[in-house]
Amino acid sequence: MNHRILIIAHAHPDFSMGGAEMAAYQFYKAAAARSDVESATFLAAHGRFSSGSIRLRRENEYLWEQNTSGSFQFQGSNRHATLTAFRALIEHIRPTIVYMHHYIFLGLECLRVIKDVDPSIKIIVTLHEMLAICNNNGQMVKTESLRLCERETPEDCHRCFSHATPESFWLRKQFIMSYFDLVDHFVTPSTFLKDRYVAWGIASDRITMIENGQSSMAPLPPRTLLANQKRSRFAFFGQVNPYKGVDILLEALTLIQKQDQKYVSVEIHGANLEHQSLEFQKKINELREPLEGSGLLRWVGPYTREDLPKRMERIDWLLVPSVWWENSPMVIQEAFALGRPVICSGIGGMAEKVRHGVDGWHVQAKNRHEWADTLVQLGRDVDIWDKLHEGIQKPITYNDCVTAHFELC
Amino acid sequence: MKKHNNLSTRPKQTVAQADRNNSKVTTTITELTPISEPLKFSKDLYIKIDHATLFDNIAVIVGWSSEGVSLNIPDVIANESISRPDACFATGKAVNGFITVIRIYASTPTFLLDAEIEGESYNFQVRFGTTASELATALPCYMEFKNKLMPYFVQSRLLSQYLAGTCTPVSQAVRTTHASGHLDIVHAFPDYGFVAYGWALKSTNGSFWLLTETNEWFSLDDAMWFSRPDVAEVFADSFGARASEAGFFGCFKNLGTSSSGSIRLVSLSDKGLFSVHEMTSAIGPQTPLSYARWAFSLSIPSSRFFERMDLQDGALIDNLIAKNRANYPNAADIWQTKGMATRPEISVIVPLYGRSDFVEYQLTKFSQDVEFTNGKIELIYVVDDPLLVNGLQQTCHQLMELYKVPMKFVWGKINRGYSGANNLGIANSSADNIILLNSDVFPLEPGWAGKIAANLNSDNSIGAVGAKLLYADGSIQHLGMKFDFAPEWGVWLNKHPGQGLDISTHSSLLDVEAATGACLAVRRADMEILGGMDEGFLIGDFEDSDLCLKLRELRGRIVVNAETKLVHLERQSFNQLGSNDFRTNVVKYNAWRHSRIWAKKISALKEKQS
Repeated sequence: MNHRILIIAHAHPDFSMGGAEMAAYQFYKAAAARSDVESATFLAAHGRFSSGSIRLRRENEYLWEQNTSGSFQFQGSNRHATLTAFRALIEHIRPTIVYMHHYIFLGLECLRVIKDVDPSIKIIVTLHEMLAICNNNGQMVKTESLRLCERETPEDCHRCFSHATPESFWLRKQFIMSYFDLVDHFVTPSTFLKDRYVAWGIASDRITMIENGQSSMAPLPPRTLLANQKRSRFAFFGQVNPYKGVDILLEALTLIQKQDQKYVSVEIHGANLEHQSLEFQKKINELREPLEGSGLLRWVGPYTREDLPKRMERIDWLLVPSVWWENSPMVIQEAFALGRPVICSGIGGMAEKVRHGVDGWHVQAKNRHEWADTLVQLGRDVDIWDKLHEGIQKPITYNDCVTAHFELC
Repeated sequence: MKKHNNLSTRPKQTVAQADRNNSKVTTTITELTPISEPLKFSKDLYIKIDHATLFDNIAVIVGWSSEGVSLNIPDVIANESISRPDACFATGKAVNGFITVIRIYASTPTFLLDAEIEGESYNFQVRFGTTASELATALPCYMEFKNKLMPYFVQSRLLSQYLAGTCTPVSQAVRTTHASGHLDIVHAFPDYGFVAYGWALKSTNGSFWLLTETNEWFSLDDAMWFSRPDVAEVFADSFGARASEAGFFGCFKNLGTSSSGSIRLVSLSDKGLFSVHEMTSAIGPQTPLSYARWAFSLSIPSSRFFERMDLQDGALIDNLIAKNRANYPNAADIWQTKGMATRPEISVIVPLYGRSDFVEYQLTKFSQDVEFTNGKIELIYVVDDPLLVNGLQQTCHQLMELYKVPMKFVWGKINRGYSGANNLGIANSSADNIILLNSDVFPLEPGWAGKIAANLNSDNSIGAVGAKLLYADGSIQHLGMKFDFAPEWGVWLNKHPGQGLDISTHSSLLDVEAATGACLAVRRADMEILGGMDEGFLIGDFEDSDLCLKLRELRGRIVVNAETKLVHLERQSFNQLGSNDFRTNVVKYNAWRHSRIWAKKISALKEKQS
């Protein structure tokens, strides 16, 4: 059967380069190229406006000026547009399957409109994050303490958001659940996410784990070592914010004994520090200065996706020291695609994607001393890198990912 | 409260009259004129009438007689013995002084007095020879007796007027040592009366009065008195222990009350009548709710709330509720979405107050229940809040478009409270079965409405069917209500047995004493017989048990379907006995009112059970 598919995302990669919108867009491109697809359309929420209008970005790609009124329960800001413009688009495309990669900025009402136009349209929702479960941007991290959160209940959530009553959290969940009832099947890019949603209340057989696809780029050769050099170059790629654990990493560097410093050199390819709280910026900058002086740290700065292979060429290890769960970090898949072992916090999506002692290493989250010891140990040991490098498996491609999705219905 | 008109019936024949009829000897009637010399009999026995003043419906007689003279005055309302050293001195013998208030039934220039002196009866005709102003001038001499006679004096319009005229502003000396006080608030309720809150202090026996601009006197003995720590602190030095109970609150019935007027706080004692404080009353809060918000916030001991309701402003609240209700517009604004059922079996009535977002939450549930979309149920939201009207008029069609649940909105153009809103909803609905539903109640599974309606129709002896309601955490919010006597309040309260617990029941249909109105199926025919829900309660409380008690009388049974589960997002709250917050006082008011109506029947029900 030939599919007419519509892929919906919360942003267009032309304007936003987050992991989920990238995954959605790559899914769209891969699907559009297939012979078993009659038509593929991409619709992305766009901008801070909610005029509601749907405009053409390029052939088969639309931008929708929609938004959600707060993230509490993801109602579309312009509900009228959902009931008219969005409906008209669905009636026009008549998709057989809608792949919805998000509902934030779009509104859950889309689900109801799709089914109202034609109940036989299959809706597959990819849960890239835990927004439905956790009001703290889906992080499942306590608001004040940043402690990791194990479960959602109205009472627990109220403790994070004292202005919202436990009852309002009950309603929030009921509301989202009532819309999720309309979804034919869910996809999560990690088993960790699936487990969280099953614990939240979605039946296990309604969720399938399918990893995000990766481009079929060739692995990089190992970094060329000069005489006496070891696999001692570690790098962080991503946002510098309190959840990503860069501060933990820098604090760990300060703990490394002088005689061990030669085994460790950390690069930070980080962005958006300037958007963080002044307090956090100050903390990072104060840690950074002496470390750069001692040669333990190189602050390389922001990168673009195109820069990534060039930058990974010059390093041995990828570091993912996040202090929150991470759902299914794209950068881990990219490092594996490029042939770099990963050292990560041993929790959530990271612990799942990186296999300890096989293709990477787990460190207890937030444990500065273990991070320091691990960096020294792995930077000094010449054999372990080769072993872990050997253990890396190539991630699935974009097309593999589409195939797995098509097998769902 | 409380003009002294409890003497309006004619008193039974006095002993004096009976004696007069039976006496053997009757002397010719002598006319006695006040101010004249004492009338002398043998052995230096005297009778003297000092003053005899006729007011409108009472007369005041002041005089004395020698010991040995038995004086009988007819139609006495009140009599005070007074010592008359002047007369003792003049006659050289013991005398009995008196001030007497008598009832006058018909306009007359004289009244009859009889006396028995040494076995002989005498009749006298006394002329009302003292003018009111003469009496008023003389009365201060007898001030110590005014305290007792005031309640009778003030029955007379004219005497009230004269007394008001003798009232002088209090001097600083009196204020600091003798009588002090303050009217903190006086609120007028046109055509009903007024409410006064303040404090008053006196150093000796005496009384306080409120005096209106139209010379009407209201005794503060009828107010309730309580401690005012703020007053006690300041005045303990000058007024001693008396300073501890200085606060007063009184509600005075005075049909002539207009929107505003001057009110004086008057101290009456042996020092005279002093106007201690004066203020112009403001018009009081005119809706029951605004009145309650104000009146329940006054600093009055919460332990005496029920006494207060019984004796002070309970009746005023009743009056405001009735007045408020009389002002409801007849017409209502009604709008509806497309697709409304034409011959529904069940009307679900949901009052909305304060927030409208519950509508959409309910619709997410109703949309998954075919009974709400196939014409079996008509869904009626009664908008009982002017702030919600515009928003709901705008969004209802969109909500229909999204959720496909037809619904009707009724706005009664004024806030009517829980009962009023439900009654309006019922009046604008059509099915034989009615389900009253709160907006913060959410079904957990489809088919619930049909189930409880079927329970209702399965048995003629069932008057109402409730549901099992849960908190968001899954514990019991409601599985029937039980009347529970609160000895500390002296009223019956509605308890929710099992509240907060995780309970499963064996039987699906439980017989209960009453069921919550948060989700209650009743028959339209019964509601018509009962005239709807009682609108005399404040906000939303006890109407449901009142309704259940009525339905019990009508049919016999109230049941709860323990298999029909809905979530009720009411926060669990326990009313603190000592608490004086508004919500607690509303509960107390409603409990007071509910008990006033039902206490006997509930006691009988409990006896039958045991």
